[in-house]
Amino acid sequence: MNIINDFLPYLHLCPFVFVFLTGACILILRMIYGNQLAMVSYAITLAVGFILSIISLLFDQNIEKDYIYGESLLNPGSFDKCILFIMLFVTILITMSSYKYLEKKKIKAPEFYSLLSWATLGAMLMVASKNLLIIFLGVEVLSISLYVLTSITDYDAKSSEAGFKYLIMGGLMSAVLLYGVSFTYGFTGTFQLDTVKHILVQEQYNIYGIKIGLIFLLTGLLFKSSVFPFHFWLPDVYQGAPMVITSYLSTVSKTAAMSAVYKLLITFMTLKDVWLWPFVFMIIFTMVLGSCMAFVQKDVKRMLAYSSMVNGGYMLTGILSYVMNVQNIDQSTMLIFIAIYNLGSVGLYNVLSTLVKEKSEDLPYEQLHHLKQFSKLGWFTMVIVMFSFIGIPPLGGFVGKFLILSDAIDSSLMPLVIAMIISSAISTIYYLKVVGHISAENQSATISNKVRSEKTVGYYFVNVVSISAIVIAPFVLKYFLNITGK
Amino acid sequence: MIPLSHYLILSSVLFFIGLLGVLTKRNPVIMFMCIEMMLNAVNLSFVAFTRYKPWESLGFSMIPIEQDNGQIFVLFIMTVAAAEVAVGLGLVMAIFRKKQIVTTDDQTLTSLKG
Repeated sequence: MNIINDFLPYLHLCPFVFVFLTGACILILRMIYGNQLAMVSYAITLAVGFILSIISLLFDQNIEKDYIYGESLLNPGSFDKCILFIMLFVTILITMSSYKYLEKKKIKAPEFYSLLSWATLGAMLMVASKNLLIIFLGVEVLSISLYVLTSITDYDAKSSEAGFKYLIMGGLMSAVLLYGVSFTYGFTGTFQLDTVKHILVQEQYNIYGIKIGLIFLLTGLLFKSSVFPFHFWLPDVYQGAPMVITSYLSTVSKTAAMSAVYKLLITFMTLKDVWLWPFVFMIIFTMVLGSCMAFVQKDVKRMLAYSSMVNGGYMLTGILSYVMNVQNIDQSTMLIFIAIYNLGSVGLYNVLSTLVKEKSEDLPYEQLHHLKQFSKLGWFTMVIVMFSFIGIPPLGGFVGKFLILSDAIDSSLMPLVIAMIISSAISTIYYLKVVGHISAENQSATISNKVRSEKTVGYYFVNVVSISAIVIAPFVLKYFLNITGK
Repeated sequence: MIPLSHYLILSSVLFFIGLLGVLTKRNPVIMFMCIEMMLNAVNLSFVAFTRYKPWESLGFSMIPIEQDNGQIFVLFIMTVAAAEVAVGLGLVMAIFRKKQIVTTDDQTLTSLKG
């Protein structure tokens, strides 16, 4: 009984512990069984562990906390918990769509799944903590796992090259982030963002040191969320990485970075004359330049890299309008946009991962032809996701964009509203281009039976979840908004 | 006693030398060394800040609790730096096996054009 009592204060750490143990279990299974087990069994292990984690997340009621260590380091609020839930669910979906792909690519490395779960652990730490130490550790655990995952294929030099570029840039930017942490610590004496905020608000504190710290901190995190001047790594890494990891990068990794940026902006709200206008300009360039660059790409993966950059710009618009106007605007806007974007992207990459060739990660537009003939469901998913990204009214993407736009108008961020409308208009063209290519019927194309052979249970499941999330979202939404009283 | 500003100036000089090095050098190993230098510059400033505690003289009404210690952060940074370099050297080896040359100039690492 005593032992149980000792563990009680730490029960809220269960979601994290389960995710960590999942990674360890996969390595142990690999050690015991060698290469006898098929990849699907490791995928199932990961899914089971993550479902346990989700369950423990839902049962955590914020009742008993350890006020000495636990609360200050890892204490997800209800918003953070929703984000954690989305991230865990999306990782499960990615896993379900990945095992067939890995078999096709001849990646016989179960370590893939343990790295994937540890990367998710890092992302969870970034979301759940308000302590700069834990956020930094989360960033590093996420990035170091992703460096390896990006370069996991051993036939493709592009993959290693992408991993290497990501590593150098990521290492550089984590040093910048740390420099910011050191200044914030040096001039406030704490790593705790809540305490920093308290000091800034109560003491009317603005000394140069903390402004420098803020600039470095934001730079480091905006790199992770690939905002305009720090986006140069994005298309290369997306193109070189295996399709599954591209999917992970544009969903879970991006969501975690956004959440960290959000916490930072909330903390440094009183210093907004330092960061607000540069930040607004960065978001404008992210959206407009991102769509222009996406428009000229010849490779679908590179196009999607810029498309995810643009969507990141929309997310930041939502975050900024919430931060500017905390009293009147609801957090659910961000949650809805993030959820719909994540689930749509997962469905999209799930279909695309059946289309890449065995020996190359490139995906020119011509390779999309004939999809309709081989997989009706895949074609339908792509069309729905693309229409949702464009923002065709009944679909989820429209709702997300509409809510963010109305929030931005409420917080009187007109430059962002205009930039967002322009970038949506440009984005229509390149999304429709994809729709055109997947619907094209080229007689000479020979994709063989490849796509047909890859329709696994996971493939169907991910497609169905993605479609239903996008289609049902507007109807569930009313319920959401009623709860939050908007 | 040497004042805090000396340490901070030294650490910022080291940091920006490292930054310049990463941005201008073309040899992966040198680039890793520069990143290490930046991280160590950060370590230096952490240690100096923890030793001098400049926030104590600022007279906050709410004194931060002494549970966040910058010197512990330094240990984490060193661990993370080691992990990063381990992954990085592994990657350099992988690239070397495929291409037989390791420099980041136009022959090797330019098949992806960002």
